[in-house]
Amino acid sequence: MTVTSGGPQGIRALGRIGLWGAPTCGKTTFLAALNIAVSQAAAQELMIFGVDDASTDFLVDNTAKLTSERKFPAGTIYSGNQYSWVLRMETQVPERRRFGRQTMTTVPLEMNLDLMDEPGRVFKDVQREPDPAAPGGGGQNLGFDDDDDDGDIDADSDAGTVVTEDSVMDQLASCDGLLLLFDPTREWTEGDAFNHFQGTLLRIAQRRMAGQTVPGGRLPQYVAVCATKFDHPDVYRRAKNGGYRRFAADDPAMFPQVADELAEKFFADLVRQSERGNADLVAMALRRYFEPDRVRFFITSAIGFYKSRRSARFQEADFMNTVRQADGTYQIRGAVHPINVVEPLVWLGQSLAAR
Amino acid sequence: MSSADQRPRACPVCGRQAGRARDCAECGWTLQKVWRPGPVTAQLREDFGRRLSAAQRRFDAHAAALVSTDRDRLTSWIRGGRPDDVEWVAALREAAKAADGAADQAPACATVLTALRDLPSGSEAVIVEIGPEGIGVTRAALDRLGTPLLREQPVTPWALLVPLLSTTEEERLFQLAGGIATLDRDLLTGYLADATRLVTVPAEATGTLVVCQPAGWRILEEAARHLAAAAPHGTLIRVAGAPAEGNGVVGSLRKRMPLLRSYGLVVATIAPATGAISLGMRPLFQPGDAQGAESVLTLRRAPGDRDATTLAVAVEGETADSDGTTIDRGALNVLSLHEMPPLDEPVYRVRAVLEAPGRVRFTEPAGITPLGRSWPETAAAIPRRVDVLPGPVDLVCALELAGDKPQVDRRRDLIRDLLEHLDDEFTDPGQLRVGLLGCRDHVFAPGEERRPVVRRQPLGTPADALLALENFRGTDVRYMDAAPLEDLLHEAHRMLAGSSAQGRSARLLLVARRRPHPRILGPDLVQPCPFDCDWRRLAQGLAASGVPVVAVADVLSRRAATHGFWADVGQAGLHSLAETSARKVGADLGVTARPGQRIGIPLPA
Repeated sequence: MTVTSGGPQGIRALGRIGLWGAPTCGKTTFLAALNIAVSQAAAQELMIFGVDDASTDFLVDNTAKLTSERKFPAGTIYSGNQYSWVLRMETQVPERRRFGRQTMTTVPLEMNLDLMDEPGRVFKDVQREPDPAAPGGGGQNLGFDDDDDDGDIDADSDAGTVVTEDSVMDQLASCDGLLLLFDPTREWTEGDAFNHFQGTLLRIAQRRMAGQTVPGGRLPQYVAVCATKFDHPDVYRRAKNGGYRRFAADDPAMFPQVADELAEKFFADLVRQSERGNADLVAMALRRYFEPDRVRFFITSAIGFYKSRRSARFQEADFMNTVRQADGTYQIRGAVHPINVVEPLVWLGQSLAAR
Repeated sequence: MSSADQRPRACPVCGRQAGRARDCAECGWTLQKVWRPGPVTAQLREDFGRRLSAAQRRFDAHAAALVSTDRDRLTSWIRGGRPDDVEWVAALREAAKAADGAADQAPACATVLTALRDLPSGSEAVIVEIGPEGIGVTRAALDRLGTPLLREQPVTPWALLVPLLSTTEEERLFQLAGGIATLDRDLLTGYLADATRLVTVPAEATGTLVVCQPAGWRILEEAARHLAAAAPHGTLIRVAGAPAEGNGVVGSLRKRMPLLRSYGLVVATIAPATGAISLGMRPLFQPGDAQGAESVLTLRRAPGDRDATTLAVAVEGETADSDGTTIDRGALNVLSLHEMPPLDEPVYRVRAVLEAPGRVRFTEPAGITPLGRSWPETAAAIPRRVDVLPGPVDLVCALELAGDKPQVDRRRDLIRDLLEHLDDEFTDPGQLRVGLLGCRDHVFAPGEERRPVVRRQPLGTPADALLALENFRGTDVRYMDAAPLEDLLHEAHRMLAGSSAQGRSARLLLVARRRPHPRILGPDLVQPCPFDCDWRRLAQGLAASGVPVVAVADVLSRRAATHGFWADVGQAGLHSLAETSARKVGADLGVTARPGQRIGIPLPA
């Protein structure tokens, strides 16, 4: 993803943002929900569009998949394509005036979101152990994961895997911002988040820090850590029971959310409740490898909570927005109300613009 | 001189000792007149002979008329020949007059029975019957059921009592009735007076009833008077007409005796609330009913109970020494047991005939036979409580319609079998009303969630429900993890809400595969019911309303049988579809008898 901004005179490119996440963490669904989230955003100037037909088609197809077909997009299948969208918004940046005065100025901002359709499998650990089962997280994943291939590359295609990993790692390492998707439900069942994370982290570090001579220097990227699937009943209940749940005063539907200032603590709680993995090491590694003020946590949901049409607001008794069908697949039950899908990108854009 | 010549002079008409009286004190025949001058002419002799013959004929005809209205039957013993019409009519009139004050057979029996009924407990009366055959003595009492206990001694024949009577039966009857003119009256009187010696009346008898039948017969009346006078507390009862058989009253006492106590048929009544069985009686015969009386009762069997039934005839009384089985009022004394073969009809009639006190025969339905079992044995087999309902029932059959066709068909088959079974068992209109509910899946998609999912057939006859069931077709599964069973419970609750106020019991049968939707999203992540139905609250509401629920699950795990929805809902019965049957379900619903709870005796209709 490339971020561009401009002063009163125009728009300028600022950098690139990469998408990072374990298999089946919902990367494709996240991207598909982005168009909806942009449409629903309060800021009227916020918009998204593709830079080419393939990117536009990707957005159109997957948005339609979510809204019309009420299905989850298929997992990313490597094709070598690179998608690119422009996210346009306005943001305030400090501007130096005469006599050294600094004021905040509203400037148009365009971020180019460049996405290689890298599947989640690429983000496996350094040992790159084969994963023949490649399940969708196992257990009650409730269809929150991307459908079908779970973002895995065809297991038979060894050559494709090698090529993809290198190119994707190069891309990520060159990004100015990273959008790290973390699926807490997968961590509860698979416990492999740290394994996925650390391999990619080390490869990024290898690419960006090799040759750095400044002691104590850290990776320069801004990292938006998104704990996904907030609408999953288990995640939601932990937020509720842990006292993290909030209702935005300006949201007439009163969908639950976790305030940004509580997100990191909630993330820590989520990973701590996993008895299988070492996800707590993820947060520690993030602090160690990135500047702490460049890491921010978000609790997100691509499809959001269910709200019936006859109800004016979120109902605690009936909020699950996925339904298991007779054939075992999951379908989206009602309207899609993404939560914290745009916000991480906006934060990344603002952060990069303010550099 | 013959011996006859040595006897005292007797009246030529009636045979009474003449003595010196001018006229016979008995028949008024002129025995002596003043002498008249002149010879006794042939004419005079003829006139005298004609008058004497007429008087003798009149005297004998009276006796003959007492024996028979057939003028010719005893003509050969009538002196003076066959009476003419006028004489015979007069004789009959006189015979009737002789029986004046006598009772007919039935009132006489009633008098005897009244006397018996009034006997102090444990005491006996003696009935002395004086009849054409001789004198009979019977010791009589009533058993605790009011049935006469008669111990008859052999009849002492007249030939032994009065040897001078003819050995020819017809002539002896003639003599007994009063044709005694040719007999030695002194001897006769002596024999009769001595009859008390030959006829032994027990000294311990509380009372003596002397029955003279037929009344008006001279020797019988005279013997009766002697015996009544000789017996302690003797009471003379004169009975008109000849007895049909034997000596009369005692011979027909059992048959003629009206009941002193009510006879009834023992029935079982079921308490609506608890199912407790209590025994009651349905009246068969009342006091005063006599032999040949008929009684018809309409009864029923418990639905589904197609085994032989025991008919117990009992006396309702106040006796303290009953066999311990109590009924609504007083004690239960069972007279006889009868076995009725299994009947197809749930409601049937029995027709009982009173053959005699203590003896009842059932003529309808056919095939009822005496049962050689004791009442305590029978009573012990009657359960203390049963599950089958006593009164009118409303039953709702609710089924899940979604699933594979064969599986849905199996659910429908179970309900169809049950309804067909109930249709056979409940022939009384209104006794059983059946409603149907079927649910298809909730569809959790925009615009479809609030669509009704329950198909409804209102309460009606089992036949109507059977017809409607054909239209309860299967549907596809649209949601895997639950079926709208909570909506079925909700609709069932509504359908059965008015039953109690109408005096009807209510029952619910639920046949399904999946669990219901919860009211709120729970840890199992099953979608809540879009109509906010709460199956727990509905199940509790049904239970609180007295609506037992029998649940049949396609597959019932051991855990499901003890925890969760199936265990909570199927409190009245929980079955696995593959292992149950309409009869088992019907028994759990309380609409048909449970095999182990056979009542065995009739229920009141």
